Amino acid sequence: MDYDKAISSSHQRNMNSFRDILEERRHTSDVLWITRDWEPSRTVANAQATNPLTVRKAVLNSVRLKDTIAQLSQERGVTPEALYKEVEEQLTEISHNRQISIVRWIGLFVTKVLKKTCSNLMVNEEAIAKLKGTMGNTPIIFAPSHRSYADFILMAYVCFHYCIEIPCVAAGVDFMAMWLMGHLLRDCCAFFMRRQFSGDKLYYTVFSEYVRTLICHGTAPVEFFIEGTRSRSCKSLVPKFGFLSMALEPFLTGQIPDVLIVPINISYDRILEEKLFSYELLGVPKPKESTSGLIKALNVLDEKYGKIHVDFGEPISVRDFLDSHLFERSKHSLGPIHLQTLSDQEMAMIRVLSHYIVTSQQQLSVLSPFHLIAVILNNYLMTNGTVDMQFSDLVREVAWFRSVIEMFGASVDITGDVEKSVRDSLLVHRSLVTLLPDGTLQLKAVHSLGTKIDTTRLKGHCLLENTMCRAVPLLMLQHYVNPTLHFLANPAMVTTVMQHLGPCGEISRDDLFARYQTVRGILSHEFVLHKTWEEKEFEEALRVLDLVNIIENTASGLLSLGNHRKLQILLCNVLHPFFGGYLSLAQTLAQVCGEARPERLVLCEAQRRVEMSLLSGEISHAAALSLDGLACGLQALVSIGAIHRIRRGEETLYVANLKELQVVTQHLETFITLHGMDHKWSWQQLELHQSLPAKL
Amino acid sequence: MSDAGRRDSGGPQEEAAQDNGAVMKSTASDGAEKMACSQDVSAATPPCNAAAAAVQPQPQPQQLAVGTIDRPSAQRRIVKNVQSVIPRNRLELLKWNGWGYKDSMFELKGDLLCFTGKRYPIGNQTLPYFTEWAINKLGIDVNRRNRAQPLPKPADFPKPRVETAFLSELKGHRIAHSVSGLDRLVRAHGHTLHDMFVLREGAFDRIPDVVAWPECHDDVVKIVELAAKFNVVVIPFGGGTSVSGAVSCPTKEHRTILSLDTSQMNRILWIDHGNLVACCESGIVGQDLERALQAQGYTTGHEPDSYEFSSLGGWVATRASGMKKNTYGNIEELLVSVRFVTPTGVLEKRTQVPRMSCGPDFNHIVLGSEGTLGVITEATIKIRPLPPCKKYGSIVFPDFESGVKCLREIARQRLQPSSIRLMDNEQFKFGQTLRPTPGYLGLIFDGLKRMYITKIKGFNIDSMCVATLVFEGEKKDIEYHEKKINAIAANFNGIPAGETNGERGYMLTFVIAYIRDLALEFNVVAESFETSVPWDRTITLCKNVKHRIGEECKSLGIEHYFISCRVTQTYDVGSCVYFYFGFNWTTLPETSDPLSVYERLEEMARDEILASGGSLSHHHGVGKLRAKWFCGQVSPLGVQLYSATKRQLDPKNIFACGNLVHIPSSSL
Repeated sequence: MDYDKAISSSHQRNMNSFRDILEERRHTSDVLWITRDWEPSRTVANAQATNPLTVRKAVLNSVRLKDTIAQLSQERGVTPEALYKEVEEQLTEISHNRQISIVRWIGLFVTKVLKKTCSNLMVNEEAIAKLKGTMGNTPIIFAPSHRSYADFILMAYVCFHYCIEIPCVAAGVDFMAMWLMGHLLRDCCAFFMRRQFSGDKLYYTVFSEYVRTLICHGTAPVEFFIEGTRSRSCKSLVPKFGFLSMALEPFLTGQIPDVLIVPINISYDRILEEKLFSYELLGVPKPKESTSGLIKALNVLDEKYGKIHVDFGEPISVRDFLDSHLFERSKHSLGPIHLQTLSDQEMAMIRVLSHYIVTSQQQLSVLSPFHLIAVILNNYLMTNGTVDMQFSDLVREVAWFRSVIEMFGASVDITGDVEKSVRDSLLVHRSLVTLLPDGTLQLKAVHSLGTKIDTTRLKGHCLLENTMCRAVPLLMLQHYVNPTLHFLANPAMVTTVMQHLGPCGEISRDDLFARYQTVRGILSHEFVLHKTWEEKEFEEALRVLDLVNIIENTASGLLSLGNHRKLQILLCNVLHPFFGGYLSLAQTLAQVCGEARPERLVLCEAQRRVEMSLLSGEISHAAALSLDGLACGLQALVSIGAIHRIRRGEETLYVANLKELQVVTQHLETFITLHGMDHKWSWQQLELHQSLPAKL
Repeated sequence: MSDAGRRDSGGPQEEAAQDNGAVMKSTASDGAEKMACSQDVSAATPPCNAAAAAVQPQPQPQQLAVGTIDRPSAQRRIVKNVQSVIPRNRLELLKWNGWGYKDSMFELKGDLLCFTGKRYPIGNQTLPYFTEWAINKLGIDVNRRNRAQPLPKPADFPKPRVETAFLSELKGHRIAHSVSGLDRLVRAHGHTLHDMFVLREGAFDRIPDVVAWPECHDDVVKIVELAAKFNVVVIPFGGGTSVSGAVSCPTKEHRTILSLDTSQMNRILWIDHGNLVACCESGIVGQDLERALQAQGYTTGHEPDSYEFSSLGGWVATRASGMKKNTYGNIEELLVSVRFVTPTGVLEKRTQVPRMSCGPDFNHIVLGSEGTLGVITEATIKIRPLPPCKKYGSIVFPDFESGVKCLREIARQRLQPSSIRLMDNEQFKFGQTLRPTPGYLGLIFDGLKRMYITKIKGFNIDSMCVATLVFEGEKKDIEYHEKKINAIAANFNGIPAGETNGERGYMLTFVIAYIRDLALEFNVVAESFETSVPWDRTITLCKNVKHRIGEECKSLGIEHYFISCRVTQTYDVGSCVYFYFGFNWTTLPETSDPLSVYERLEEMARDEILASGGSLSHHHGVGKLRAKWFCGQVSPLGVQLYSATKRQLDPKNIFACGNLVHIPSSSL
């Protein structure tokens, strides 16, 4: 497989290979289906099925653990027995269970709920068949995207449906605290991972040994969310590679012949947690995981959530992947296996691989009509200051934009009549967008004045009530814009650069690439862009921009802007909120980070500054208030050297490199001024539809 | 196994050596008598230098030669000329384009396969199970036969590029030599798949220009001097069983290439009964050496799988390993001292001591030098009294992992018998197919045995595997030893499975080498490769390599393939693993050539071996085939150290066979 080619290819997928697996359930007995004979495909066909007890035993008997305990017992002056007792407790906390009867019960419940709330659960059946064909002699890792709690359930549900051994899935320990839920998840093969444990050597050894055992001797796929947490913004998150490196260590040290990683995308038409996420992004923390919270959340089951698309990517053979990057193994021939540690080159390679996985997940996504509606409404808002579009205009624009984004490589779930799709979609999302009787659209006031917010637990700046009112629906809208950005970001960056060329408006390819690199550097964390594919993605962006007449070759062999003005504006607009947020961040850093400041304070200050800039009209989009966005900005500024990160114990501090920061600030200032399309609106003019009392 | 005695006339007894006119009585004991009578010692008259140097090769005359050796400190000793089984004109006895004896091969009779000849126990028997196996496992179509090209005609060979002045000087020194095409072709290759494939279907790009047959150390010294004088490349050639491309001619070599065939230097120069060492010339082949020693009540105990044909010099030059190394040691442990002729002089130890602390041991410059630094002419090796008793044994295990764990435990307790090997399930099943049609009773016993293992013991016929054992020593010691091993095996669910299975296993070792010729005939390419690996990585290495091969075959569209391994040696710190791999290439696309597909697959397998913690080679050597990984194994400084040695010993790159490291002549 040519991995580099795969990364930038924008081939059209065959949407016909998706099948609605709820369809059958609507006509046949759920109970019969759930109690059927179930002989799952396993990752290793001839081995005994993974027995949680044997995994536990293998960890307890591992040489590595023995070594760690010997060492710790000396360091801490504790007896090995005491440490082993600690290990037993940790294992009890970690261990998964495999209760097929529980899986069946939950399956029954989930079937009922899905049938009630979702119109379709579309699964790429061809991909599943192909995957099952390759199963049988190689450990497999499932790497799904993570947008919702529902991901856990859906993955198990799809596996149950297609007779694939229920994956052992890594879940955060916070789930465990939930009464009943913790147990249920555990019985459905979840094992639990503490959030921070790099400092705890004993726990690290136990947990990594647990993962290693699942990989080497397991017969079920091992599932983990490479983004580490649910993405609140619905954009991919920069991958975490701690878990992946643990899981790949047995392969890299030659204990297993290969590992297959299956990138999986779960695309939701509407996400269960959409509103909560908007609050979280603004700094209002999520309620602690609790079962009562969950039951309250069951109210959301009265709502409609439209379609869900689940797609399984081509399994990545890690050995192949390394070969294709000319990576030589066999660096672990000296010393016992349990003392091997991964080299820096290996970690760097895992970083590349994890970015590749995320990119694959993006390519596997399916955009719903509402994602396109959100882009159009957002664009309209940014040019006209309101979303009061006519429905017919919206349908026309969506149809146009669909053809554009398909050209950019996205798959859009619109079959047949666009108008009907748009209408259905608006129905699903009626809690955010209303179609008024006069045929115009309006955003709903999702956050109503007077909603109680516990200000003691705020993560960011305490925003004005007025700000919240507008920011919450706008962030929800942005949430649906975001999935399209994986297809738009690179062309949009090139377009933004082209937009800010001098009067002559021409640039050589090399100069353009250099400037693109600058912008890309700034947005690398926001859109999960890895340096490895910089050139490929640039080429691909140029190719599609040429196709849509945004870039033209001039007679002198240079590049200039083409005549597709409308799309140029749209592309510049989608990046605009990010530049706005980053600019405020950079200004804040210049102001406060003359000396090292903790992350929390920096983000808080930056958010305050964004709010001020919004009020003054300096920047114009509420998405800039997102704390996640600002955090991405911080990481990007670190990686381009504009600030330095200092770790002091648990705390992370930042100190500005004022000279570099100045340069970045200038770039950002340029990018947010849009020639010839000055935003006429201040966001305070935005009118919201106030029909429903909103509740948190 | 050897029937050399039958064909030999059984030369007259050994005669007194003549030195400075003095006649000495033979000191040989009755052992020597036995040896002479039974098979192979021929009388000798003229010293080797005086032997008529045939310019054109002739059938080996019954050589009568007693020589003295001209060592400064050597006492006058009796030289035993050993009549080799293998004639100087090798093709009289051996195949020109396949393994082993001409009369021994797998052959298709009607629809059934059989093994011809009487040399091996399965000779002249039809093998119905084997036929079935070959059809099912390798997809062999008995009607689709791929016959080899006929022996090339004299005109087909490339003209020798050699100066007449050089030849006449050779002649002047009375060194037998030949420029005949066939003689040169025979010495242009070893026994890699590549070599056999080319012999059957193509032609070598480069073959030696001249073959020389020195008859003693001094002849070799002269040849090397002449080679240096005329800037001629020398490639030493022993038994010709190399599987690393070591004797192939570098295709880009424009100088004259001389193949130095050591086969006529095959005398046992002396036997030291008191210290149990023997000094032999390097060209003596394993079976000759063993037969001659056994006639005197001794053995080297060195039995590489190729020992019927491979030579002592070759063993030293490649760091060979013998099946019974647990009792006797590998070649580096057997070797006491060695005479090594290089372009800058002769390297040899001046003592014959059990060990010494005297700087780096230069034996280790010679061991593994693979013909790149000089020629080994004589080697003094340890010999042992023949064991009074030899016994085979076998143990079946439910699966390969239990077997490996058991072998590991036996090694931990240092309880290995002379040989202990573990075949995997594929090889176990394969071995079962090489049994002739059983009689009526045989069938019943077969059935009973099978029932016991599978039904009563619950072994799965598709996962079980078998370890084979060879014990040597006193009968009661063997019994005790066997008991201990069986007790260990029981802890790993192993069940003793009798002597016959064990014996069959070892017999197969020799027969299996013949299978490839049959395979090639029916569109299957096959080869073996080996490695050594620490204990903790043994099982995973086997799994990884098989997995890799399986996946790659799948992706290439190869439907029928065979990949199997066995653990053939165990050590304190690890094991030696031997792989057999072959595939039916008829399902490959038209455009791909089976040989290069095979070579790519073996390369991947080697990458997998290295990634799994294995070595480049346990005993086959590096040669040209594995040279690309050499630096990775020994570090860049290791390569520099080797190169410095090369520069010192062979500044003009006379020994330019190009093994281990490719050294361009300009860099020397």
